Amino acid sequence: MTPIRAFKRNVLALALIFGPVLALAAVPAEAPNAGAPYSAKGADTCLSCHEGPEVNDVFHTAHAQPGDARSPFGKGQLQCEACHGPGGNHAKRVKKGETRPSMIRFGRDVETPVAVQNSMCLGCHERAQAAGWHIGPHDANKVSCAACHDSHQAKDAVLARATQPDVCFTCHVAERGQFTKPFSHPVRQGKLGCSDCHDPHGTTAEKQLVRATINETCYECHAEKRGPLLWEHEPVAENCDDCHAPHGSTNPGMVKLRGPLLCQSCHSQQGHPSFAYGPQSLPGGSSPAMAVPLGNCMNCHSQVHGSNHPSGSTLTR
Amino acid sequence: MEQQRRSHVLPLAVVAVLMTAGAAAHAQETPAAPDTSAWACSKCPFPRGYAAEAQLGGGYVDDASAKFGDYTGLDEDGGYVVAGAEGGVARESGYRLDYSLQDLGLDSRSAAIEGGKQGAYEFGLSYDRVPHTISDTGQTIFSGIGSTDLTLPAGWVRAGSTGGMTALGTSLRNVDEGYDRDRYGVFGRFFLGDAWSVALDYKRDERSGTRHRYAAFGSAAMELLRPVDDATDRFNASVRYQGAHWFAQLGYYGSIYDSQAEAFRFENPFTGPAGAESGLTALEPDNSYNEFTLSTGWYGLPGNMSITLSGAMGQGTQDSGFVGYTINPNIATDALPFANLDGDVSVTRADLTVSARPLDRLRLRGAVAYDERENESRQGAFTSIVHTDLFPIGEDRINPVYGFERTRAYGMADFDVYDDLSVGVGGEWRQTDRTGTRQEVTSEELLDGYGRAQYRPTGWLGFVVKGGVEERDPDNYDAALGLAEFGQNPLMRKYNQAYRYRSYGELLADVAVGTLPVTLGMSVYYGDDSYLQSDLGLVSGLDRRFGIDLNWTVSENIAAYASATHEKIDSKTKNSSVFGFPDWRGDYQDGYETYGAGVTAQLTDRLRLNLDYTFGDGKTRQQIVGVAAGSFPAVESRLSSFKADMTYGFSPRADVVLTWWFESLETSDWQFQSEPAVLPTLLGLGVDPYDYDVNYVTLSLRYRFGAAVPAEEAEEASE
Repeated sequence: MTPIRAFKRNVLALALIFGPVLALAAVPAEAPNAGAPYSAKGADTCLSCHEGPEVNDVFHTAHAQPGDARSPFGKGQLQCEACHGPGGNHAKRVKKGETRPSMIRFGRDVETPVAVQNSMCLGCHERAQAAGWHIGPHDANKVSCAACHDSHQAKDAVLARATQPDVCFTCHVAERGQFTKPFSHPVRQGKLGCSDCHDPHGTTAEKQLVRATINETCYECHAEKRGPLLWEHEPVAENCDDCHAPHGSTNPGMVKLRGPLLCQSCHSQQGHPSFAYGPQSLPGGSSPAMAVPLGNCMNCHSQVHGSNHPSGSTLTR
Repeated sequence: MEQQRRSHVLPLAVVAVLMTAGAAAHAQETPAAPDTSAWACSKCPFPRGYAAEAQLGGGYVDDASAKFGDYTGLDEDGGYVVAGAEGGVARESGYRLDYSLQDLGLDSRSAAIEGGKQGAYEFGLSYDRVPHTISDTGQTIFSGIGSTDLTLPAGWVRAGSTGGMTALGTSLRNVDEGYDRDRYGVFGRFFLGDAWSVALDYKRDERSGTRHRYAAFGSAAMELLRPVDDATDRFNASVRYQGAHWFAQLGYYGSIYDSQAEAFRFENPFTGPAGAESGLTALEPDNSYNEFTLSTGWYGLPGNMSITLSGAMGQGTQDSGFVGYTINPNIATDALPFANLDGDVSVTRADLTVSARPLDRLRLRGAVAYDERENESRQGAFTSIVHTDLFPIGEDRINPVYGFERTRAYGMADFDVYDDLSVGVGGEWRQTDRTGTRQEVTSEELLDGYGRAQYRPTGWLGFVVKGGVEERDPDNYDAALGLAEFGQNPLMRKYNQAYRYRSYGELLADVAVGTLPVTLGMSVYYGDDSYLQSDLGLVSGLDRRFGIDLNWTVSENIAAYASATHEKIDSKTKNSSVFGFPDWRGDYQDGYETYGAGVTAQLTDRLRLNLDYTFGDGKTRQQIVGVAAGSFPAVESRLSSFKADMTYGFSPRADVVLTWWFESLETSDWQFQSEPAVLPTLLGLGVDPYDYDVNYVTLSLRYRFGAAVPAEEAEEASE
């Protein structure tokens, strides 16, 4: 028997043995109130007990709009139970010593499984997200919608540019630090949100970017870099990330490596591009060099993103 | 024949098992739909009428700092007006109108208004100023800052070196660097029945100001302030049809970049040959881009499958007129081969995305994406290239056109072994073909594979562990081309094209500490890049990141957090000063760590306090090993930022808000040179490394207008 045939036989055997086991094991994550009846009066039942801003603020949100038939509070809709599931059992009188049946709850540290939470949201919102959510890393990492969104808040923090980063940073901890570096995009100052560049609901673009490519995303604010230019610098049109660290850097221009070393990672032409520039090359050193202080290589080759000058072939004009 | 039958049996068996399991998994019990006709929602506190909140007061900044004012608008010392408002009106019918006015007394002010009828139409207008104050410690000798013509001061004495510029000291004057970005936006969305929707979005960015730019005459160079005076218009429009389980969308994206400063002239402060008294450098030319997209998708298919398919075609153009080869009147030049580039870039993209959940415990995802940039710009021989307006290089050069085709496929499979344990594998394949003017690597393949496990044994403990390897493998690195076309050392391997082997690992964890209301989040990342076939160029990179985030709900009224991050990036670059084998290496170690803590406390019914502290500490070391060995002075930065705000409500509608923001940034950086005469042949702006200690204090009154506020509602309820 050839190794390939043996492999196929083994896979077949495994599929037949484990398939039924998997099928039996494939019990879906179940909502805590699955199968329960709905309440008698809808939201009026709920609001008999539940009160306070953390509950009532939902009436300042898009979810509680009686004028919109699609809203959970639209005509004929299930109001609170549209998201929290049937509350008939939960609202019943509970005998002493019994635990009140739970409802579907939303958030990071609640008992309701993430799959159940998200299925409630996607029941309406999947139309807008289509396959995006299912292809994204947040779904893969079982992040609940409510880990980011607070649908009971009149102002959902993740939807406002100034407060959004703090929501993202609770998981993306390293990025919280990166944006405090001396050279970074104005996220800390509230002028740029994570979602200005990334689509947390999933895209086919790298890094879940809002545009199809890294460069297209950068051009949203830096359209002057789009070109095309007469004398292009090869990597520029391909990937801004080759040289830049968009989450912040200790180097001016948010470059990954300080020049001239950055440039010398690609350039080795005879003469000044390949010389070793040690600390002696600093002003005041034993052999000061133009290629080290200020803009280093860019002191002369200032058009590092490309030039449209007929004499700009070496990116000096 | 036997073999053929077996080859069919295998997939059929697997599919049958999966379908059986899928059917079993989705036979869920659903309750009967209730009769909601009696659900009056009489207790629902839907917003009624107008509600607003306005804030007015004053603030004071005790020291001027461009860096502190960067993006905040607080760059000058002195008083500021604290003013803002937000509010809106909403009706149960779904009509609403909201507005927001923020930081009206600062250069970072913004305003927005949004309204519409939910489910029918929405519209909005917005304005946002983003001040980018880059430096306020520079000095320049040039006049005409902000214009496209920088001139030397009267009485300027040219010299071959900065030491001989006898008028330098008396000619310097302080100059600020930076520009404002004004962002305008308009959008509208219209829902035409259940199926059709139309979205329109227009944004305009206007920038004006200056930023530094270097310019050279031969081996002498200077740092200048170039003008920034441009506008970008962007349009997004889409029409979408939404079916029960599918959609189709046609979209248009347009971008027009328009600069009022496509070139600028500057006088030469150094002595040079006759005719080289001035230079002209090009700036970014106008460009435009138009793209049409068509996408469609199906979801809720058998096996919980979703499929999305999209395609886009775009075209970018750039046809700004060229300046001449030189403005040096003593150099004769040929005619330009053409008056403008007639730049034309075609973009084609397509992608197919499939996700499925054939079993409740099994998730499959995959996508294929294609992306092409074809540069169809004009090419020609430029026969009179003049180096920095000084001398002809005596060599014809043909402008290159660079393009690429990228095909990317990736897939993932995750299986829930138990309710608390998921395992998964994934991978990516990417093919990049570089088109147009030939480069060292015309074709490369990237392969990435990883495994991951997610374990959540209890509600208070969860882990995600991921590890993988990635290989980027060029078909052939054409070093001979690099030598012939670019004069590269044949041993050089450009890091963006070189063979690279990457191994990486990641750990995410969240832990709730015992029964305490404390949660701990942690992330660790390790990435190791080896450029195993590179003798020259970047040969290694090592990236380590660690972050921890602690949240503690101390009581119903007090919440606190603390966080720390640590990041270390090392790299090694080799090169040869003798155009041979490597004789020196640059070692680079970039370390950065942060610590932060904060507390939010509702101390009494009337008094609320927020405290927040962030500390960031960076140190970058760079040393050369081999020829010219030695260590550069460390580049250091130390940020301390403390914010406190206290709100006291002296009535249900009125608060007094007191805020204090102290921030300190100290940097030492050899790249910044505080004296304009950096070197005999390099005249800079003399910008200092960032160093500031600034206090910003505000006192303001906040008042709520209109509908009953929560405190009043509570009072009404108690009565």
